[in-house]
Amino acid sequence: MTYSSEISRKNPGLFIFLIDQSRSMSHKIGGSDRSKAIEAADAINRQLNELINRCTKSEGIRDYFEIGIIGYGGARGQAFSLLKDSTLVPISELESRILKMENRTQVIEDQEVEYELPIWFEPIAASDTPMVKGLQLAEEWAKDWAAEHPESFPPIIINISDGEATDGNPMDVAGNIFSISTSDGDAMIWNCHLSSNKIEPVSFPNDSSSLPEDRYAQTMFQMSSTLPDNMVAIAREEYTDVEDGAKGYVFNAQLEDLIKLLDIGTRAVSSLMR
Amino acid sequence: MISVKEFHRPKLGNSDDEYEDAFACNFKNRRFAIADGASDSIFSSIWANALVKAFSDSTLPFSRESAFLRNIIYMARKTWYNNIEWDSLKLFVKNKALKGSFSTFLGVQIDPSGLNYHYRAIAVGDSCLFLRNNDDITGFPINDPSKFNITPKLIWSGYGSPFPEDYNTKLPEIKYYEGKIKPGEQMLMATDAISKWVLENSPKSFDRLCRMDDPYRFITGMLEARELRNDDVTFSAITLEM
Repeated sequence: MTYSSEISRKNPGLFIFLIDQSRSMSHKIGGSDRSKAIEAADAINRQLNELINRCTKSEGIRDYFEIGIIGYGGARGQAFSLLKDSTLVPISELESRILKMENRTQVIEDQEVEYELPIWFEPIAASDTPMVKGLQLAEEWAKDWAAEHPESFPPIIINISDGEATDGNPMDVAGNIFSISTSDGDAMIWNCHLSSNKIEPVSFPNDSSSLPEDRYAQTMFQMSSTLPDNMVAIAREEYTDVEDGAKGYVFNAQLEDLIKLLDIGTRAVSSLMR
Repeated sequence: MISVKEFHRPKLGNSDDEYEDAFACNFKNRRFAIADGASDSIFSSIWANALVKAFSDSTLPFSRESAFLRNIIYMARKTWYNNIEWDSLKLFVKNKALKGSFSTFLGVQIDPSGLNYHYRAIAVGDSCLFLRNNDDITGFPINDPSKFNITPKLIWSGYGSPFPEDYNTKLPEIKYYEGKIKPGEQMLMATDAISKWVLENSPKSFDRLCRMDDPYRFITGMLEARELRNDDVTFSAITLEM
């Protein structure tokens, strides 16, 4: 249980993204004029971009990961794959599933630089919140995958939601997911919690006493995995405020920083860049 | 008179095209350099090669002044920049290439000094120089196998296009080392995975790598047995002839 398996094309990892598409996601994020649904779509698009970025080499995208994407609440009581005709796909396949490109600019070294940002998912806020059903589908996929990849880095499930499950207690199924394992460790759940409450963002807390006053924060925190020691050690190279026992949980904050902490070879520490 | 034996192979599962370490030497300048392109960045092989060539072929006098390494990086950046076809990159490759490439670097200058030789070394990151020291070995910049990790100090190429080829990049932490070496003695330069093994198994490891005529089977066997971290392996044994 060391979370040290080499992530490679021969020995890929698995990410399953769950995105909450329920009606409550139409409410605005605390302190922002953007809805939780817009933030959720932005979050998954950013996280997929970051993951692909980690897998991109000079010749293109290497299949270091398989990817599954589950939407829940887009239709009443339903959770299903958002990848048409597929459940899990090699990450390179996402290139052919881009919905549209958006031209963006960023200012680097006082120079305005244009780049194209791929968009896979647009905001949806439709129905109830069958999070349990979404997690059960993720459990099924992760279980089968772990059986087929017994020595791989264990599955990582990322849940982007406001936490308002309407089909039961997600803790039970989260417990089932935590019991899925490979020889390298137990499956992990990381939660990206979006809230309408206007409270300071929180990233990777290690203690429930530091959670914000939000009625779903405790549950979302409890169903988040403790980050492996080696990820915490890497995190400390770039961020000083990550404590031992930090959990894969963010509140109205960005989760993609965690993807940067995965060991896929010698890391280029971004702090070297101006 | 100086002679060199160099060995390299890509990590298990990768092709020769995917090898990202680099080694270069220039006997006229008596300069030797090794670099390990960061696997998390893109076009790392081009960058690692540009750095070792810029150092070994440069006629700029070796110096501890930061301007010396800055000049080497400046020349290497031009080579790196001009070896990438910026306009024809695929979407994700282009977005990542903008962030530049990263590599460790170790350069050694060896000069005659009376009846002995004087060596000077400059290092960024965890590519190592080893010297035999009676019954032990000394490693620079790392002399303790527990100090290797996946976040070594790296030299950055600077941003990719649209930034100009003569863009000046930030200097990382630089380490220097120097000493005397006698005719008949050897030194070893190596990238991180094999360096860690050298320190864990010293001093026999040093002698074994320096004397080995065909290390391919030995190194591949250690990678397969997971005695070495699965990584590109490069080392070079330098002998100061009598």
